[in-house]
Amino acid sequence: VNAPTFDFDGRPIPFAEGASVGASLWAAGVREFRRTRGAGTPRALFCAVGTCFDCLVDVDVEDRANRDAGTRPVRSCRTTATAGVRVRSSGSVARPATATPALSEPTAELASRVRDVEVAVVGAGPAGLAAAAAAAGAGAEVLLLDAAAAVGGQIHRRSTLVSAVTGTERSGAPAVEHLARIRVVLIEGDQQSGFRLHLDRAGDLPAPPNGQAPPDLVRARAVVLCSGATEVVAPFTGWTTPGVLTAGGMQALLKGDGVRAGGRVLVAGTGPLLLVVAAGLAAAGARVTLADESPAGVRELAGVGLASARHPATLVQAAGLAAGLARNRVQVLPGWRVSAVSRGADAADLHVRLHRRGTARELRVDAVGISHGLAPDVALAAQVGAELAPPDPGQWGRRVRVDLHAQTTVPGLFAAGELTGVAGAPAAHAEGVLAGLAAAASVSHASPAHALRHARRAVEYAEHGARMVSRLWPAPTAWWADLADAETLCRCEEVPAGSVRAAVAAGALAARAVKGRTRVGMGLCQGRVCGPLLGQVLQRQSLAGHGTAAAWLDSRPLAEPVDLARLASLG
Amino acid sequence: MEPGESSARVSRDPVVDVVVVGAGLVGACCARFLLAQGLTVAVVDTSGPVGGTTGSGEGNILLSDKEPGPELTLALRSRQLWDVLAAELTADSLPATPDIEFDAKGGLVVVADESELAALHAFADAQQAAGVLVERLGPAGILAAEPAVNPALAGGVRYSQDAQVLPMVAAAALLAAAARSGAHLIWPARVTGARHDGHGRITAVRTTGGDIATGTVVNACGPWAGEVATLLGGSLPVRPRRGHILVTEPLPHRFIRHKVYEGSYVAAVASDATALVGSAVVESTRAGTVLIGSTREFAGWSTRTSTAALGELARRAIALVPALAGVRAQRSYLGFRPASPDHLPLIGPDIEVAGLVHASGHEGAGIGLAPGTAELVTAIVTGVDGPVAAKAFAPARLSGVLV
Repeated sequence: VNAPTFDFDGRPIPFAEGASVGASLWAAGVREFRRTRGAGTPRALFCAVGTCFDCLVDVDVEDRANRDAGTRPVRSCRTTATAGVRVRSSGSVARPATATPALSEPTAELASRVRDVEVAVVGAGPAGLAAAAAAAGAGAEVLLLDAAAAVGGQIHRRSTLVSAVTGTERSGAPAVEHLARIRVVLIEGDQQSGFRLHLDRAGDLPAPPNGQAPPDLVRARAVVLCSGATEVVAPFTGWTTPGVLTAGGMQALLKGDGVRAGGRVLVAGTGPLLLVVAAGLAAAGARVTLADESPAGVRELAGVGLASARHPATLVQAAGLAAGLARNRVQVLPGWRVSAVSRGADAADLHVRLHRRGTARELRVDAVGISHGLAPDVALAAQVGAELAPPDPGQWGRRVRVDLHAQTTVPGLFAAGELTGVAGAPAAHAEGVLAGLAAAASVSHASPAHALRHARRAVEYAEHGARMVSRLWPAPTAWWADLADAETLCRCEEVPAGSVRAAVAAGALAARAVKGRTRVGMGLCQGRVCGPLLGQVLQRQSLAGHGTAAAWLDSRPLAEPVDLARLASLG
Repeated sequence: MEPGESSARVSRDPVVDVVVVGAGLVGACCARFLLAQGLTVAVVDTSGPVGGTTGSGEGNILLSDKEPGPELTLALRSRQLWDVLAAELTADSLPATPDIEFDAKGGLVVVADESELAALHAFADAQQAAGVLVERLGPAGILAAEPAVNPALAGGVRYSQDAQVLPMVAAAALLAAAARSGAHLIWPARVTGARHDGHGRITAVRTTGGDIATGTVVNACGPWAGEVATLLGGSLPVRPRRGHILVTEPLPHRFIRHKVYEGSYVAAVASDATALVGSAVVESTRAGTVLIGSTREFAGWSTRTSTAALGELARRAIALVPALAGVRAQRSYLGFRPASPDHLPLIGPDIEVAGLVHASGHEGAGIGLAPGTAELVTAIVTGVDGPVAAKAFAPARLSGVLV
């Protein structure tokens, strides 16, 4: 039996059940999903998890009368492949269908599908799952919202908590109600009046005409935000070349879509994620080279594990990762960093230049998976007015400030996991338990004091362990000085580094001022990719009398692009 | 100081003829016009160029929304000056500086029914008598001019002089040119007060970056002009009037050709309502995105996005251009307009403090009115009569003091 196919620019593309359009195109060898509107350079998958908008393809949209089909660019990594659908390389502009005219005094169709809950948990990664389970365990009525079809989060896709949350380990009714494929575009309100979470379907396809409609609005007495973090890549020459993906994106392709990014893969950058991705790809049969640019990094990981008698789990994890690399014959290049990537004669053949101090070496691979750490995703927290803290040394981006019981500066709004400071899954889990208990308590489901104390101690223990590991892989800072003026900083708007340098030199000190003059961060991803980079640059200017808050592009009043028709229903 | 250089500290206390407080477009224009008269100038700002209202608007240069009277006179003069400024800035621009995207695309005001159309055409008659170029259009006319608008609309008026500019880029270009002409650009530095002589006249401006000796201060602080006036010993009745703007994903080039807006926009501009007033203004940018403005409300300095405002903008935009229903908004932003009690700009001497000249209160029209305002300010500072009479804009009009 032949695999089902969809059409891409007239070419049939086979796909596996449940795989995304983007992963299927990648597996079929497509390395040019579109060309950019400005410079006309090819783009394909980059983040592969819906953060960037590199992987756009066009799909048809029709109006209600099925006339005048328009086209809409959609993120192919967020669009599930279906048989027979026609997909084209994207022109990167929406061509709206001509809608049936209606001319009446505009009025809000008040959101008819409203859900009231005690505790809403946003994000179903390790922190969100733990928070939902803990709040439900304390007796609260809990609704768990996540953009993915299944719980587990972006990187750590399996967890024993999954079954706890879905209720299979409990007797009776599910402890937590889970709303999948939902995203929160806007949160407003406060503890007194209740929080209002405005929802939309996840993904980029227009609403099906008679599809089953999820709630538009969730009203909650307490909210636990577990929106996680976004991978950061420090730019280098050729970082927009198709075949250069985020390391996390490679992991998502492998675990989520069953697609190996390439046969010969370089995994490079900084951070413990590199080890996981390298071992995973090698286990899937790829020939993997791991270039760890951190001076300590891989070499000292085992040492840290051994030195941390308080953290036997870290030791076991470190030993496991090291063994995974050895077992799968991953070539490790400690201290090397990628300085340039260019396309060979064949689009799938990449020439990589690496540097270590004065020396250079070349490598030819099919794909480069790169990561320089994670930046907290604070957009939803900022919408409600939660205070953000500047990044700790060695970290990317601002984080949500929380108190000893995981509450943000907004009463009734709790936060757990990477958005409160990147510390990895064990810390996220511990913080989630604490936030879940505290959120339940805030809506009058008091937990025993010892449970909260225990959860607090678990957080401190896990965060201590995380700090020991993260010290090995600080966020790099030399990239900005090394980046050529002509190289792209903002991928969406193709803003070169030189334009940003000129604006900063002319006195643009706030991110908003640089954005207004250069268009950096003004594209579809709204600075999710370049915002942490620009923020680090501006913060390092560290001008006297100038608040650091202005350095960042992390507050997005709309968390993601949303149909005007959906916004029109807001009261 | 080298051209374009900025510094948090003034190396030695400078002495200048005029200190312009505020590095938005109004302040940047004032610096240019004052320098052209041979005066020495310093520009001070709390954050840097265009950190405030200039960076939060749409870049409107409109005649269409002005009723005949002093503001229209200032707008007509400003529109002439914008042609000159745009040509000069384009000719002067250094390599690798972004284009100010000055575009005389024209405005198209549309209405839904015949009675509104009659009122709009009568309004246009009066504007035409005052020197505005107008073109009355019926339903077929607006569809020919603007194919994306709702075909059920009754008609409208095209204003060919309405234009658009990137205000942040324009202000930055003006400030860079001012620096090349010798202006001191001082930021980030907050004004903390002034020194006065025995007669109450300003002798220096005190800032967190040091004192600047001067006899004249131009207060171009937009919605913050009231606070700054108070710090300098004077007063100005300016309130922040908040506005939201939605930005769509990129659409085909010139998907919308004009600045298209509802006839009710004029009423919204003139209203005193505290509560939310919406009226859609829809236009394509060169980048392909469509800007959807704008709401008006008195909400203090709250920077919390109002879902009611976004809903109102989306509904009105869809009513105006139905195809937008299937288009995504990629972001929204908000800002604060400097609102005066009678909707006329506040340009002229402080009612008490000698040496303090205000240039604020433009509400949503500051980008369009900036060059005319700067010309007027320069005339007041140098004690000559400019092409536009100053009296109607003098802050003293509101306190019953004769000028």
